[in-house]
Amino acid sequence: MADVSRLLGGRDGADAAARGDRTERAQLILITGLTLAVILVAVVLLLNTVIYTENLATRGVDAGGGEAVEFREGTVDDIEGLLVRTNWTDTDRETFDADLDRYASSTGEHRIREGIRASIETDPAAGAYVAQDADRGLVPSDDYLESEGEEETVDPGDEWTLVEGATRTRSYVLDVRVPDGDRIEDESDVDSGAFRLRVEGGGNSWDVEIYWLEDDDDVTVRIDGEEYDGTGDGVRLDLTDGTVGGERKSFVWADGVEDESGGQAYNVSYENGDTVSGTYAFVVDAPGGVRTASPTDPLHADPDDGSPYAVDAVYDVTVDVRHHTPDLRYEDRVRVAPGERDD
Amino acid sequence: MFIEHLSDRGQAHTLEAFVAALLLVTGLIFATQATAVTPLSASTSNQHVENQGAIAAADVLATTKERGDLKRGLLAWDDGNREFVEATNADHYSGLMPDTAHPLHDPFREAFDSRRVAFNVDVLLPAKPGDSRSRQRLVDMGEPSDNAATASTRVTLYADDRLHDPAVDDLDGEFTGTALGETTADGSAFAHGYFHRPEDPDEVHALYAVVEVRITVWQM
Repeated sequence: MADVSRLLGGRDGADAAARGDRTERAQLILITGLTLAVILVAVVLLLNTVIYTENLATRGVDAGGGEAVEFREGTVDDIEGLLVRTNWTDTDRETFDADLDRYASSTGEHRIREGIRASIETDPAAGAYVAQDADRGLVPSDDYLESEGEEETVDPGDEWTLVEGATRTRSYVLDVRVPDGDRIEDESDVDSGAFRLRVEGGGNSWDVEIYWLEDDDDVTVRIDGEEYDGTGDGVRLDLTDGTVGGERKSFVWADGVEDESGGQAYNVSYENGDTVSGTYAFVVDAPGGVRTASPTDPLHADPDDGSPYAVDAVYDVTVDVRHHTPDLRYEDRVRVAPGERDD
Repeated sequence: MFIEHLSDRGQAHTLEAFVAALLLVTGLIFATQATAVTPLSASTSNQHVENQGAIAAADVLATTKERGDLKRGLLAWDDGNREFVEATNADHYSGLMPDTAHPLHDPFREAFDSRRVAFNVDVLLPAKPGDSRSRQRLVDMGEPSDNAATASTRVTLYADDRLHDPAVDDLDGEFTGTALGETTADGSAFAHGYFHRPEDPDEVHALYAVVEVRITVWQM
């Protein structure tokens, strides 16, 4: 700003002008300072808002991956439920296929209304359900024992085969008791006198022996060489799930015999079944391998005829799941086989 | 003198104008920010509330489905009166279920009711391609606001699932009423009065129906 004191003339005027100029300058500096401060604060606020908005705008609930995985999990659970129910009640493959179709179409219709194209393709594999519901010795059917007895002597304790040519087994539950009179004296008699379940294939075998030593309080279960205790005279085993009396153990079903990819066929047989009594049930994937006719066969073909029996069942279902959203395409293949061993 | 003096003032006036403009702008910014705080208006911060509502609804659906409470909630249907058990408004609930033993009472109370979040629960029934899905209300607390969030999951009903029998069953115990797949003696119709009945009973084997449960939540 120019010095104006000389133009005003006179000492008093010059003084007054100089004073006025100084005060006006101070005011201007003050206002400039304030303005700058306000501008800085405004800029900070603005930047903050921009960052916050960007942050929120790009943060969705999720990209859709969780939804796709949830869809797969839900589908597997539901098909497992259908599979288990079908094997319990109606073993007709056609009704199961109809159920699967109806399930896939209603699920797809629900999803398409949310803007998601979802499809479920299923491929069930046939199998057989082998079971003994009545509490009796783990021996062939009475018809078989009687009829065969005419031609040759069949001892109930002989080794007999339940399943031939199976490659996979699931939900193998065995609930047995050893009657007091069938206790064995010591370990050296186990090989000859104890009940044995044998899985044999490809030159390998996997054994489960159940016996009760005379000087022991509890039944002993020997699985592939490892010994486990039962409770009193009985024990409940889930062989494919790996539990003894409900407790998880470290054994694996058909270890060394069953091939993970299902390439190794094997037989399942019982020996000395007359030394124990109880029930069992399992599902195998060998539709042709299970003996099906009575009385020339150890298994009944109809549950109404008595135990043990073998009927057609669904072994597993291969499910192709597709879940397409505009942002994400998700596809997966899952094999549903409840109660199969976990490797 | 006059000119010199005027130029002095001019600078101050310019600055003053800037300050005034800034004041106006900050006033406007402040005003818009202030209104954004209310939960019902659309804004960036409200988006956050919406996201949280959607996550809470999805979590409640996931946990109750896993525990089986969601399906039990659907099966708690009073067959004779054709309404949900102890329904408070027509055949559904107008808010939280009155009976604390209802399988969905506790999850809904904890997630929504105690946080003053309003919610609607609808059951969407399966539809044929091209048709719209019909809806059965389970909880209806009114019209959702513009900022409501939704989450849905599907529930599979099997033919051997049993309805609640009001005469003998506890809501938190096992249900022993009519099985969903049960038909009349000649097999032409279902034996129960459930809210959803597939058209053709012959079609029903192990699977009864796949329904979708949708929760809509919004701030009260």
